[in-house]
Amino acid sequence: MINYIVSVAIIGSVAAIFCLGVNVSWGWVGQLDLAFYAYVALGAYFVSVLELAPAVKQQNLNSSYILGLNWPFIPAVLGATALGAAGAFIVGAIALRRLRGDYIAIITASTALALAAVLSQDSSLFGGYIGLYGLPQPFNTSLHLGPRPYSYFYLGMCLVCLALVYVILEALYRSPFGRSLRAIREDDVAAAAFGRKLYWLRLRAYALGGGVGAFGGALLANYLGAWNPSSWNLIEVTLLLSAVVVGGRANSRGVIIGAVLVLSVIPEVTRLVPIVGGNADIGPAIGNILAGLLIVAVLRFRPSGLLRERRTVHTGPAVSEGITPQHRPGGAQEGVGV
Amino acid sequence: MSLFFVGVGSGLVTAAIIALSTVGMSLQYSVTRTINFAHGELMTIGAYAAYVVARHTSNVLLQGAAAVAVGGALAWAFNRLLFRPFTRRGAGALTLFVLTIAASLIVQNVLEAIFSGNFVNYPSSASAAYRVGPFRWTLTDILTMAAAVVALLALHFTIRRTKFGKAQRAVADDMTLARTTGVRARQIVDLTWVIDGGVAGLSGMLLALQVGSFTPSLGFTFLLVIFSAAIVGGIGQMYGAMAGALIVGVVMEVSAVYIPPDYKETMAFLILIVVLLLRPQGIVAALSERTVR
Repeated sequence: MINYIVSVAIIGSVAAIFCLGVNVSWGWVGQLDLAFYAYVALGAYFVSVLELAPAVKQQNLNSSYILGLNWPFIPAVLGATALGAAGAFIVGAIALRRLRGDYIAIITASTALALAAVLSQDSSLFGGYIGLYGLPQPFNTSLHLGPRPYSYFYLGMCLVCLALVYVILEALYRSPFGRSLRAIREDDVAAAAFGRKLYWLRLRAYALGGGVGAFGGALLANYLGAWNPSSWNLIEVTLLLSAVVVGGRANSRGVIIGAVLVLSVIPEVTRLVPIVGGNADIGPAIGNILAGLLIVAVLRFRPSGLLRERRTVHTGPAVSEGITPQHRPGGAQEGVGV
Repeated sequence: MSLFFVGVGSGLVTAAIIALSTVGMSLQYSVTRTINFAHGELMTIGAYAAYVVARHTSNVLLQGAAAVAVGGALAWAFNRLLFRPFTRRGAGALTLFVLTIAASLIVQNVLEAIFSGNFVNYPSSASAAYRVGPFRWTLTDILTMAAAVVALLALHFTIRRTKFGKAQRAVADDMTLARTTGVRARQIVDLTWVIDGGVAGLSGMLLALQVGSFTPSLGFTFLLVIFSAAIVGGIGQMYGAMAGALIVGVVMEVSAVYIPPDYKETMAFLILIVVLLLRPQGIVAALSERTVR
């Protein structure tokens, strides 16, 4: 039982990191990124090929992978995060050229579908359908922990990582960068008139979100010890969106609550649904249906989500003069207003 | 060279399926100005409806009728249950889009709960290939193209020649103006959705016939191809959609002759990216020009 709870908690904290990443693009800037799960997968794939030993050509297996650098855990995770962010940067550079929201959604969705097709079919890049396996347990060569204490350790590490991501993103949210992004979300024409470089700001936010996703993907792959095309499914990005909508867009705490509710509580509860007519998919299917209905219900009855975004009101002469935030004499006052 | 023509031949079959689905999506987009992320599910439900009927009767017309009816009904439900309640409250395009994502999730999983996530086999009689000029088609191929051509011609006459078509074009052009001149815009939008669902459902059945076995993600994975054809043709353009479908379908199948066929979808994606970079308004001059903020 305790093992079960620990594994649910580990997956839950990784899912919360994913949702915080989705929230950057979608909550802060209002651009709908449907390729997000592709960055999660990129992070997981890259951390695997950085940590694993070089691929050995096996006679009967038509599966190989690039790199194989034997890197230790921390540099591998950082490298995977950077590469995931770089991937998001490239996709974003194309997708964000057209500012219309539905175009961004179409291009990102198409990118993710195409990437999924290539990564699962190309057996020389990341092992194709077979994927990558045999990842070492992070730090356990020096810790020598048994399976159960190690899972506690891993949970602790995931929670620390979640806290780290939360703190960094909160700081960015309050920073001039975060404020400019929200300005773009509320009124991009006005933001441009006030000297904001829309494309560049949006692109940085997009790459940041992708990087957070890749970071979470790296943690997940190390926990699972393996990663292959069946570990990720594009439709899952809709579950992440659902978590963000339910929790409250642009409110990090709300997003974490939404992640726990939609990605941990609902799937674990619907696991109890009995198998009807030999259809083992019925439990997860009901969970996904609930997540979809939750999106509709929240958008209808509480569009801002469970926890509302904190409103900030900027006072002082800077507002009327339109000076860049760095030069504001009084700075911004947080938490004022309704 | 003969292989090239085999590729073109199956490209025309694929194009027929894409064209039906994309034309439906374009019609719907022209009156709602929102991309329906659950469009693939209209195809999927059409495929399953036809599959259920096909288990009882081998009559292809009945199977097609089931696909059209169920696809149309689902599209009608999308409009009535999702779009209308929210547009009435002034929801933005992005909110509507997120709703269609939720709809996609719900429909896929309802199908999974009923039929499970495993592959189902579409019962169809295997048929030999015929040589038609340089092409090689099976009876299913010819049937697929015939069904698509008939449906597209019927749509063409409906949109160009009937009173409904005139009103539909007026609503697509400017809903407020159409309303002030006495067009019943709500009914037109309703009916446009039903047509969208009907042709999408039919194309789903044709796709199922082509691939033979499928899962509840049949239409979802085909969405990339539909998007590609829609963007190439200029989104919201009925005739552009047909042209886009032809280009995407033929390029996909011809490429499969020379590179591994697993990369067909990737070809559709490449077309999409190239068109977006070089001619984002699509090949047919865009009607969306006005809607760009």
